[in-house]
Formats: sequence, structure tokens, C-alpha cells
Amino acid sequence: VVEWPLARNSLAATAVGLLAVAALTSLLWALAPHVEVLSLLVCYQLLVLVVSGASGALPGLTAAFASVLAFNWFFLPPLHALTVADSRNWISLAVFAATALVTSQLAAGSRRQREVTEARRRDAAAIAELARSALADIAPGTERAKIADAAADALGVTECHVALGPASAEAARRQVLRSGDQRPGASLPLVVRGRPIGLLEMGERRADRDHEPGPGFEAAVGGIVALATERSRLLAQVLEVESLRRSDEMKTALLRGVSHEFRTPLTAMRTAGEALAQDPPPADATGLLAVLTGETERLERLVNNLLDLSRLEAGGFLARIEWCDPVEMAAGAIDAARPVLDGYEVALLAPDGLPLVRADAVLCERVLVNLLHNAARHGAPPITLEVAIRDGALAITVQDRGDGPDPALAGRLFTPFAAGRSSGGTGVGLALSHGLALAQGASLTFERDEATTRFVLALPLMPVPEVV
Amino acid sequence: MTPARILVVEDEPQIMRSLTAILRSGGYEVTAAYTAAAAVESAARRPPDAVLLDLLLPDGDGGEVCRRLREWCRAPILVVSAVDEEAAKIDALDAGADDYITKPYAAGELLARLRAVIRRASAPPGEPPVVRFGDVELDLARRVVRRHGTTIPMSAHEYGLLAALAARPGRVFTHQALLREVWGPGYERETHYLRVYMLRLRKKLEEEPNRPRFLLTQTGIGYRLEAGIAD
Repeated sequence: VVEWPLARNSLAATAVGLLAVAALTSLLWALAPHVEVLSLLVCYQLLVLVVSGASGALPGLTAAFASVLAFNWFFLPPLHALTVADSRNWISLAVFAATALVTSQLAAGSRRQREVTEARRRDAAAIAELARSALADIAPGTERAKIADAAADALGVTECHVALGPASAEAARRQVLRSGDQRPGASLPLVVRGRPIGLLEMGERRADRDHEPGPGFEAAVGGIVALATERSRLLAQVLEVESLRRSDEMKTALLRGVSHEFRTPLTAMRTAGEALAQDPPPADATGLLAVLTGETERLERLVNNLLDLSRLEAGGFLARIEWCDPVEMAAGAIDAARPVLDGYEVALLAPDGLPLVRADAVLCERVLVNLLHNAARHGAPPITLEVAIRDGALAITVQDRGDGPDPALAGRLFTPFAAGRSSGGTGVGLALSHGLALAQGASLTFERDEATTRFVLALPLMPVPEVV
Repeated sequence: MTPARILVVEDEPQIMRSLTAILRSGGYEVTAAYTAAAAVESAARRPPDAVLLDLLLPDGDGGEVCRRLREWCRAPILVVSAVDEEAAKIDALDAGADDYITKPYAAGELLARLRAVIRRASAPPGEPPVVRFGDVELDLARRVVRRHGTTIPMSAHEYGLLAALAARPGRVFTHQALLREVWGPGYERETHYLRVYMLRLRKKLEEEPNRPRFLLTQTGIGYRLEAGIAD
């Protein structure tokens, strides 16, 4: 089936061919007195070759026919008549006609071959591009729309839509069954390993589409889209399973940790209480009372931390963000931490002229108190609290000279009870601090070098409004 | 001298029992009230010298109790609250409470706070014409601040903030209350004004502005001026 646009092109080319014959004829008219008449045929031969090569068989043949007529009329005696005086000239004319026929077919054939090769090259490029954008760049759960857009680009249509679900899969199955009469349609079946999963619905052909895809092109696009869709779905599934598994592991660790952390102070308290109830009272009553108070405090910390942690994880923690003076917060944290610092002094390092930050001062203070408490309990003096601008953020750094957490814990530092049996800690302090930092748009990170252990609370810097 | 009488408002009998023991050992007389209604009624019948008020009560919140007591009772109020009840603390302070203490607290800290609020409340009425802290002397009548005897130049808002805190030394003023007092209604949310001006005041009046001894931060709540400390 010849489509109209092609036919129109072909008509125009034919007209151009005829014009070329006319132009050549007038040129040769000037030359004719000086050359052998039959040699002019060679010029016409060349013209037919060029027209066939450039425009195809039909314009080539037309040009050949016109050349014969023009030559006969203008140059072959008798002039201005379509008759031939010398019978030998008939042979020349016949040879010319035959040669023109053959060359025009050959040239047109090679042109068609070039065109097909170019079209297949573009098909291949489009397929490769689609494969790259739909398969290689794919992230888990890549939106179907993104895959569909890539497919629309490859197919040269205005838009595509990936339709999944039972109804679409059924439609795809029916389409595959009558694939005998498959023609360019409004949708492509998406099939993965012989199983129809849905349809790729196609929009209108784009006006600027510049070539006709070859057979099998649409099927190839359908195959890639099906693969990409399936892969994205599987990746998302794998991730979900992974995160469920991890959250399950975390809950188990949490439960184990919590039971242990609760049981230890409870046992100590109960034993101390029973010892105090002895008659006569034990000699070390004061010491036993101190055990009671100390273990109570530990339980209190644990309960508060766990409550906050669960509230953080449920997303129910509303930070009260306002403009805060970071140095004031740091100084406040040192004061607030004093009872848990076991007498360690904390040096506050802060240059003048630091900007205000957007933060929740109460949450910041709790994070810093937690970190200072850790430094005093697990680290080694001197402990410093430094406030500075670092990497475009306002960094409040708690630093000590201790060995820091076990390197094996790196990456799980902010996971509750990551340390297993914690040494006197509640096992949730760092996890809670991390969560409290995130809840106010800040970050908490850990750094370590040969000599020092550092936890950095980084608050985002923002332009501070004018103060009157 | 008769011992000061503390009205303890607390709904947990076990805690009331321990509190009573701690306060008696501190030399106070204790009146117990287990509900908000009982607290107001008890104070009306016999005004206490101070009120120790838990913010979480079965029949109403502590802020409301503060408001009702403040209608006629001048006894200092020390509110007790959990660590994450900032909003309730602020409400109680704005309703007239004098200070707050966060649960869990040590017995010694409770007694010290109580002593402080009672001492401040028993000071002679009327604004003291001169407030002293560290090496600073604030003459409220002449609106002059001197340090080491030298007059310190102050902008209007700097002086306003200092004078607002010095009106009741030791009392906690919430951010909102200070902003309203110094900058006026409508400025209650501009906390950055307070941060900037507090830093300026500290630079002018504190030995170590980063480790203030007098212009104290109550994280998440407000500020107070610790005055009357001999230096």
C-alpha cells in the first residue's frame, strides 16, 4: 500500500526530473553543432542515473522516457519529428532506453536499501534509548508513568499509558491470541515470560515523527515496557520485604533490650527494699536507699526515652521550631547535663557573632544532654562542646578523647539496643537523639579519628530576619 | 516563728505521702489537696504561704488553678510538671505561677526552689528601687544601669527587657510575656528579638556572656533574672 505522503513526494520528484531533462536539453542544444549527435545520449544517461538515485524508480523511468522523446525531437534527424531517418540510430536509442531502465532500477534499489537501513538504525536507536531509560535507570518502584513516557518517545506518539490489572491483562491475552492480524493499533500487549500482564495504551502519532518503524518494532517496545514494569514491581517488592524483615528484627531486639533493661533495675530495687525491711535493719541502710533512688532514676530515664522513641516512630512528635541562639542552647545543655556528668567539666567553645537558628530548643537540649551524658559515661575527658559554622550548617559538636563506640557498630549506631547489653545506658539514648534531631530538620552524625570521638548536631542555616 | 504552710496539690496518694515527709523534714507544715477544686477551697479557707501544684489533675489543669488562685491569693506558686509539658508550664506561668520544677526532681532541689519562692514573696511589697546582681546595679527609679560604678549605655528595648525581668527577680517570665511587655501585643511570636537582645544584655552585663550567671535561660520556656546574689 503506497501512502499518500510518499506518493506526493514521488510526484514532486518526477516533476523535478522532467525539469532537469528540459534544462539539459536546452544546454545540449547549444552544444549540438559541435559534437557527434549520438554522444549526447551519454549526457542523458548520466541525468537518468542521478534522478533514479536521488528520487527512486518512478521519477527515473519518467526522466528516461522524456529523455528519449527530447533527444529524438530536438537532435535526431529529421529534427522536430518523432521519427528516425537512419535506422542505425534506432539501435542507439534502444540501447539507451534499455540502459536507462536498468540503471534507474539499480539506483532506485540502492536508494531504497539506504532508506530501510536508516529506518532500522533509528528503530534500533529508539529501542536502545528506551531500554536505557526504562531498564537501566530504573529505581525500585519507578513510577509507571516514567516508563510510559519513555515508551511514548520511542514510539513517536503523543503519550503512552501502562495499564495493569486483571482487565488489562485479559485484553492483552485476547490481543496476543489474534496476533495473526496484528496491525498498528491503539495498544500493545505487555507480556512477561508468556504471561500477559497488561496493556501499553498509545496516544496519537506525533506530527514530527520522521520515519516509519519496521516490522516488529512495536512488539520490541512492548517487550521492553513489560520487562521494565515487571522489574520495577519486583524491586519494590524485594525492598518492602527487606524493610519488613528489618523492622521485625528491630522489634525483636527492642523487646529483648527492653526486658533486660527493665529487669536489672527492678531486681536491684526489690532486693534493696527487702533488705531494708529486715529486722533488725541492715547496717548499710543509707547505701541501700541510694541504690533504690539510683535505680529509680535509671528506670525513669528508660521509660521517658522509650515513650519518646515510640512517639517519634509513630510520627506524633511535634517540634516547636522557633529562632534560637545556638550558644545559649549549648550553655543550657551543659547546665542541664551537670547532674549526670559525674563531675566532669565541659568546655564550651563558641566564636562571637554566630547566627540564630531555627530549632526546638528543648529537643536540642535533650539531644546534647544525651550526648554529654554518653561522653562522660563511655568517653574520656576532656569533653568539649563546640558551636561553629561547618559545611553550610550550624554544627554543635560534642567531643571527647575516648575510643568511641565499637567500630563494629558503625551504621547501626542510631538503632535502639544495637549494642546488645549496654553498660549502664538505656540502649535507646542515641536512637532517641537521632530521632529528635530529625524531628526538627537537623541531623546527627558520628565522626571518629585517632584521638577523638565526635557527635555532630547540624542545624540548617537560614536568613535571620531583621531585629528592630 | 510558726513554720510556713505549704498547700500541696497532687492526686497520687503515694507521691503525696513522700512529698509530705520531705516537706515536713524541711520544716514546713503541709496541707494536702487531691483535686483542683479542693485546692482552691482550701486556699480560700486558710491562705497558704506557698502552693506546690501538680499540673496534671483529675478535675482540671493546673493553669486553671493558677488563674483562680491569682484572683485573690498572692501566695507564690511552684508548679510541678513532666519533662515534655512545656505548653502546660508556659500556660501556668502566664497564669501567675512563679516558678516550675520538672519531674523527676530531687528532694533537695524541691526544698531549695520552695525556699526561694517564699523568700522572694516575703520581700517588702513595691518595686525595689535598686536591683543588684554581680557587679551590676539597676536603678529602676532613675532608669540607669551601672557596672563597676560606670553607667552602661542601653537602648530602649535593652533597658525594657532588663527592667521587665528585674520587676520580679527570680521569677520565670515566658518568652510571650516578655515580648508582649517590651515590644507590645502582636510581637509574642518574634522570639528572635528576645534571643538577640538577651545576647546584647549578657555581653554588657555578664562576666562570661556564654555562661551567664544572672540572666538565665529557661530552655523552651523563657528567662529569669537571678538577682540578690552577693558577689
